[in-house]
Amino acid sequence: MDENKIIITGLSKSYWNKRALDQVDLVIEQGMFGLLGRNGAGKTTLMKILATLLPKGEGKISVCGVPIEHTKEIRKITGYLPQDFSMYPSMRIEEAMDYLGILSGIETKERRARTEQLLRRVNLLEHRKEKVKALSGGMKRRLGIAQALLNDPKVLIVDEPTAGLDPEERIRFRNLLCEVAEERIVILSTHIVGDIEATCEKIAILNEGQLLYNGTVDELLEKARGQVYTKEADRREVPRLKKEFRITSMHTQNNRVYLRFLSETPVPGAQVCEPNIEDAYMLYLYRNGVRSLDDGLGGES
Amino acid sequence: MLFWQEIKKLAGSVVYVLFVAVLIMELSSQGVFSFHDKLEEPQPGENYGIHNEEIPELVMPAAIKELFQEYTWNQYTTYPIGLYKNVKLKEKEKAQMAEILSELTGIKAERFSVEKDAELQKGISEHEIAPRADLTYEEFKACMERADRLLGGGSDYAPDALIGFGKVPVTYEDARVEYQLVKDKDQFTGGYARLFSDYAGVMAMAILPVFLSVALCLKDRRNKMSQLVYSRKVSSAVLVGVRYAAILTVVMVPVVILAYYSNSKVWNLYEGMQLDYLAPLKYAFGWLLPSAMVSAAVGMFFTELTGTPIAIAVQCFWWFLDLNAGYKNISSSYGLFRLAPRHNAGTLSRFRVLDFTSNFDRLVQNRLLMAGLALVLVVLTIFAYDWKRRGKIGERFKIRSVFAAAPDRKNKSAA
Repeated sequence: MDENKIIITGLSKSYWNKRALDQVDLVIEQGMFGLLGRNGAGKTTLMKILATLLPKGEGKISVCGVPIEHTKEIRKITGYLPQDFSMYPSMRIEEAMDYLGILSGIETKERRARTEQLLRRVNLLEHRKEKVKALSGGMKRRLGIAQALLNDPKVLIVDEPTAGLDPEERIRFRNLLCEVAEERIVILSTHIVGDIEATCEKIAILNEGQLLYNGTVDELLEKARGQVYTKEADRREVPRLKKEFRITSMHTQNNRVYLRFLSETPVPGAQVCEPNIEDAYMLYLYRNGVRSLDDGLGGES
Repeated sequence: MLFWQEIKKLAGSVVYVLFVAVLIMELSSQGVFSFHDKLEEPQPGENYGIHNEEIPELVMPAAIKELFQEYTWNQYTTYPIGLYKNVKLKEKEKAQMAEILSELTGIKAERFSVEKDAELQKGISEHEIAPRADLTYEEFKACMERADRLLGGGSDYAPDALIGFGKVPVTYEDARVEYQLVKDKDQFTGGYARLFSDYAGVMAMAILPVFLSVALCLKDRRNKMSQLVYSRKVSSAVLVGVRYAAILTVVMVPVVILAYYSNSKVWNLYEGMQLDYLAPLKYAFGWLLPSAMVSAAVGMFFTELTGTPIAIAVQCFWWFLDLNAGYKNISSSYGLFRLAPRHNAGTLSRFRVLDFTSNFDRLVQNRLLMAGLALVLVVLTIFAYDWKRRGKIGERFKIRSVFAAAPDRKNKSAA
């Protein structure tokens, strides 16, 4: 049933001589879908193409059975929360929602009902009379989700939503996304591995425009099993270990250092441990020739 | 609904408060809120002013005297492209001008070519400066045309400007005819509304709306709201059209109110007379709206296309040219391409209603042309906005994005 899927076939996109996306094939089904990749991997380009804010290059995209070229139809069934957004600062929250609801072509009665329902859902109902400029970063993101859901979209596209949020707001935001994903496709693009781990069952990894991985989180973890180690070492050993292994985390206690690192062969004196998604992601990037990780930790530890 | 939201956005902005303040200050400085001159019915024996007619016997001596004066000081006033220019001739050109003066007056050219101006004045008496006895009007016009060309054009000696030298006193009969026209056609209030429109057009409507439209169009980007708006279902045509209508509404509301405020000041001067109470409304929409339309449309088009406030510079430049083009003919100027037509005539000249009625068709053509141009710019704005929404041009003008897909197409065709 294509009605509940996004099907991307052979998608490429170039900006002059830079290939932002290169032959991407992807099927995204209902629920949370994580798009992981470093900055500049092509995530935002893909998000913008899906939100009809950028023309696609080569390839085909169908969103819930609608070809991406049918811009108006696509905009009717998608909600978009951009990476860097705000609203008119002097508008009250409910006014901003009303304005965006009008632009979405929602009738007055329905618009008011949806606004109240969504503001309640994102815990902003009691702040509805406050001006947008008075909101904290986290509240603004929640308002962002509410506005993106105004037209009750089949697809919600969320680009780097947790950057800059404090841990409490980040957790609250992730939970909100999970709730929302029960009834639609939610594409979460991020370079923060923790966000994906906490929310997504299926993920894709993009690097330099190419799709490196497309599958479940469990499969990705399985691929890393037996290749993640922990070791307690003396502080003086750290430079040597850094050269030898790809370290994914490290913390210090007095003169002792607790390291977590990747290795394809057994390491004497180190214990094999359960991989987390960050380990698996790093390992996957490395296996696929992303060598810049050697210089230090990647992702967010 | 969207219309009211856009109105709220505009009317609540600082730019709009400034717009209204500047509008009131500019119009107030021109005295349009304190009209008190009553147009009286002409009585025999009064001075009824002057008007221009191209009567050779009047035009030729006046024009030749003026040319001689300017030659004497070697300073000629011209408006070559509408802008004021003070022309000084070089020696060779001075000699050519002396030839022209010689042909016009019959005085030998050498007498004009005395090097020092002081000696020149001593050499030729004022009485000698008169048309040659056998000078025909055709010869005179040909000489004046040469003089105009020598000055680079735009002088008072250009064939179509010579009428300015034919000053004829208005007769009692003519004054009565004009008074009757004011009474019947203008119904008095029309003349005052016209004067209001002259000032409001040139000082406000031709320039101020551009600031509002630029501010509105940049508001989304400045508030990082563009992508939220772009990704909505609303069509670009509806959004741009509604925003344009909202700008014109907030511009015209204070203009109409001020037009009525200005006009109402004279209503009690004409008690018992038939007055046209709709005159301020007719002139606001017929005369001023097209100027506001074009100014707002320039603002929208260039702002959406470039993502910068460059439209302000564009409109200011056009306005400056137009202002100077009208400087020469401030009393009436209805050129087809005028941004703000001029008809600056006080009550004492009976609103120059004959001049207005005889130029009415040209005025209508001009206003329709400006309104049409504005609508064309709005259509182009819709295309620019839609391109931007689809990522074909960047937030700031990066036309290269339009071609960004080119390599993809190339690859595709190769495949």
